[in-house]
Amino acid sequence: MSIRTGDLPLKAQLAKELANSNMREAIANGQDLLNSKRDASFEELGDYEQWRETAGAIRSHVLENLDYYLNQFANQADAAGAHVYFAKDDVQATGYCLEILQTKNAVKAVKSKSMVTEEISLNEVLEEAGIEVIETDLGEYLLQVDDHDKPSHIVVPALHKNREHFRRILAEKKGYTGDNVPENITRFVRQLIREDFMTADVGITGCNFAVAETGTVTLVTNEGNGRFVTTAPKTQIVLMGMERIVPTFAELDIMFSVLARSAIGAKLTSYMSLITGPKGETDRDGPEDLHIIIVDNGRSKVLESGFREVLRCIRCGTCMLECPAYRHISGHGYGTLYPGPLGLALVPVLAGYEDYKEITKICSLCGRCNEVCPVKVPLYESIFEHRRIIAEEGNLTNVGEKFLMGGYGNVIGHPSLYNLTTKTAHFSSAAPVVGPLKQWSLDRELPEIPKTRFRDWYAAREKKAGEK
Amino acid sequence: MITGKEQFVARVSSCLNRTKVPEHPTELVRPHQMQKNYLAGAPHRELIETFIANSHALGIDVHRCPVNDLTATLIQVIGEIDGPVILANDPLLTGKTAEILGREAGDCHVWDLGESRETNMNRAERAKVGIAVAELGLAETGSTLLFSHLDSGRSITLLPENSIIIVRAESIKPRLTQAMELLQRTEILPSSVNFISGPSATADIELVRVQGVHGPLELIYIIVD
Repeated sequence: MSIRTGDLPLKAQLAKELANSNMREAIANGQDLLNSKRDASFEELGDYEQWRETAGAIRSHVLENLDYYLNQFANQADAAGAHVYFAKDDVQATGYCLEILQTKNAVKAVKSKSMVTEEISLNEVLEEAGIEVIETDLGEYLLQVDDHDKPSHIVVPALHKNREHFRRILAEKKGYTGDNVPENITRFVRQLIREDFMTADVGITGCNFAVAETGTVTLVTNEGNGRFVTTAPKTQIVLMGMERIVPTFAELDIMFSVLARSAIGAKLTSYMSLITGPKGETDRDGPEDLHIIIVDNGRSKVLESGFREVLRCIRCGTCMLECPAYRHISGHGYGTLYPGPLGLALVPVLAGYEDYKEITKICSLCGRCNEVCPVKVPLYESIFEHRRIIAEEGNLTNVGEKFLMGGYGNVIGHPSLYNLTTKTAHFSSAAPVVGPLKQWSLDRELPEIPKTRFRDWYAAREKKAGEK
Repeated sequence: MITGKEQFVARVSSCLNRTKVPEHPTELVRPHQMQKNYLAGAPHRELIETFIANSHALGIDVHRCPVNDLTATLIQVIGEIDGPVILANDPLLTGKTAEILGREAGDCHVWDLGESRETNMNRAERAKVGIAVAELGLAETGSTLLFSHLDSGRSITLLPENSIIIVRAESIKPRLTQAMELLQRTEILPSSVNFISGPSATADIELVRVQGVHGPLELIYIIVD
């Protein structure tokens, strides 16, 4: 896959998804269930705003010092015995990965779920070279068997398909003779993949967070596939986006604490694996060789733009679960690897306005995503700013440079500047005449985030309609 | 070995409007310290009770016994499962315990650094039960912290269908925060450290929870006093 996942024009894509009532029902149920579980898990934790403010401050600090921490992480991982490779783009990253597999004469690789490997089309490159690549996350495995159908959500990839569909696919492709009970399907897949785990030459994983102080990479999974991929094969390759860093274990505590609650409404996932270097000489299992590939692939463009704070994202999927537009069109409607509010904020900078200006319209600016993001990514402001740029800039080809020169573009979500700006705006009743917002707000007023949650408003409206 | 760092990091520096990597990061100001409040100053009895309650909520079976009764408790728990056993090479489990378990279970192996990778992993793959000892238990989440290396290989708590983890009562702490403090104090980190919070599980088909995917189907804690 790559950043673009759909092949239809946007309007046709949207029409197709809107007509898919099975999918819409599945996504709506999924959103409702996961949202209520998340609300409950944070309520139990308490101090919701304090956790978000702290997690957001940590992510923002990392971005501000990213050169320092990348340097430190690489040195520490190297000292622990890992090989660290810096890749500026998808071609370098996949090329190096393939080189490792070919050096090892590998014919089979097992993978645990990773967004960055999707972004750089790693599976396609390896498969073209004749290497068998097996996705081991249950949802991703089922989609792979289903003629490489695409994920519709970044955490629960097969949310758009039902049990009977998967029973039929497994019967057709893998000789499954059982019923459509999820437990029985899961047991069948367990047996199939167990063999692959034990015979694969290479394990490929992503990385949820990398600890700069110790050179540790971490993996968060429920199914145990992340542990398997880092236990059985003799070679392990980790691919990580360059912004995945935390300074120390003290910050990892905060990030782990908010990630599982946000993603699946659980306090923690079943497994959180912390890997520091390859296995020791006297260890008996684990990889003999550990390669860590750190990927830029457009992230530095985001870092230098006014949209830097979008890189805070920890890929929990919360904004998608809360989004009323996502509810009706699913991840497929956007036609981009990163869908939902995050996708709208990130993709136009990562991959350019030329190809991704239309998608920014898939948003009602209800602002709900901002209120639930566990690291306080300024999603609402970013999407709004994209729309402004697209509307006001005639020539979009060199917009990247203009990000740097524009006033508003520099302050989206940055703690110190943003506080200053809102304070300035606060003290002057109309448009501020001084301060960073001056130029921009001469023309228009700052949008206000609605006070009522969309969910609450909608629930109240439904209730009212029901009473009539 | 590191490849391509200088150029890559220089590009990142330039994106941050500077010409070289600073000698120190800016100060990290954490606005709140709410993570330290959880069960702060609670009596140890409460930590253990909370740990047990939260483990149960995750579908984990919990037993508790004095350390001298560990062998008897293990025999009882393993007897219900019936099948080959693999043990971590830990003072709590080896010696007399391993010997008695060997007689009872018939097929019982201790993770053996004198044997090859293949031999150890095949034993774990064949085993119905894997037994290891936790560094810590965490009350808030019913989690255990395991150092999965050397005498306690990664495979022990991963390959067998049933996983038994021994938790020393005095090692139970409030939450993840205290575990991270332990890791920060650990001079040489093991190559593999795992937090375990329940048996392997998924909800990938229609969000229906299924217990037991690639890792253990059942998880059992034995707390020893």
